[in-house]
Amino acid sequence: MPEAADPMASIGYLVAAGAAALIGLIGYCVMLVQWTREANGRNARLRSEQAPERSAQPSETPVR
Amino acid sequence: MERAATAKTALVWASIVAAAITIAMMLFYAPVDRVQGVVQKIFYIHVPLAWVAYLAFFVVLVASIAYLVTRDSRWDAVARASVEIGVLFTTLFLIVGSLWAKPIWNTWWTWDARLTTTLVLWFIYVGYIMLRAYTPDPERGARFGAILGIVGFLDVPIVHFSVQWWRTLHPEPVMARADPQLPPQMIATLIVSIVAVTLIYAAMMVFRTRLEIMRDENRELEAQAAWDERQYA
Repeated sequence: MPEAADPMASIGYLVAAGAAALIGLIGYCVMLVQWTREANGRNARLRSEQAPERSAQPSETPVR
Repeated sequence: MERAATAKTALVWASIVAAAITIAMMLFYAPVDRVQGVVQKIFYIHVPLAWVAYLAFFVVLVASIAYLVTRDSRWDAVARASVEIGVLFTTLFLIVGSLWAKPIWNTWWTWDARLTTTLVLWFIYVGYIMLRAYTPDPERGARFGAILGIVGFLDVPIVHFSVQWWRTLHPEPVMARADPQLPPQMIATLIVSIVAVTLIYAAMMVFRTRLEIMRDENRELEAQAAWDERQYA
């Protein structure tokens, strides 16, 4: 274990592992928040576009 | 509705607090290994990530079976969410494992049975994500995905038992045995870290599944809008 014997190198590997895990998890959470915002915005837009049409022309179309 | 939002917030805070406790225990409570030194503390990151990856793929298996039985698209949303999070955790534990292997084995990677079967596991679920992305018909994609989610899980026990079935560099499990060969402080830190990462997975699953259901709803609304447009044009 050549590098494990060097305490500074050991600390370096530990910090790198911790940083990799944190960056991965936090990065994914940030992306998740962004995707959720986009989906919410799209949902609100689609609903507001359909609402006036529905009141004017009621449709019997079954939702898939 | 409000109760669900409170539960979500509580889950997020519980996972943040548990992660902070894990980091503190890892740095100040768990003893330094006499043989490996400080680098052995990667154990408290690597093992929980691997455990949650197995758990995520088990959830995919259950949700896939439930989808095939009930044809309820919410089960498919659960499977899609869990696959993505499982792939994230597998990627992270492969990277973290590699950072542990270098100082201990003197190599970043070796074609050892455990490492190779884990890489195969990663490819299977990346394949799942690609399959879902490239199948235009959502219902067909859900059916194919459910089958892959069930068959793909067969690799999980192979990964787990590979260290016993073949001669490998990777050590055998230290906890999943009758007489764990670890000091109590190490066992306590490992348990807390597993709880923390499981809570993080649960929180991610709640938000990711909700997102998948919302995207399905958006697709339905778009299809409905297109149908209405054709009907009344």
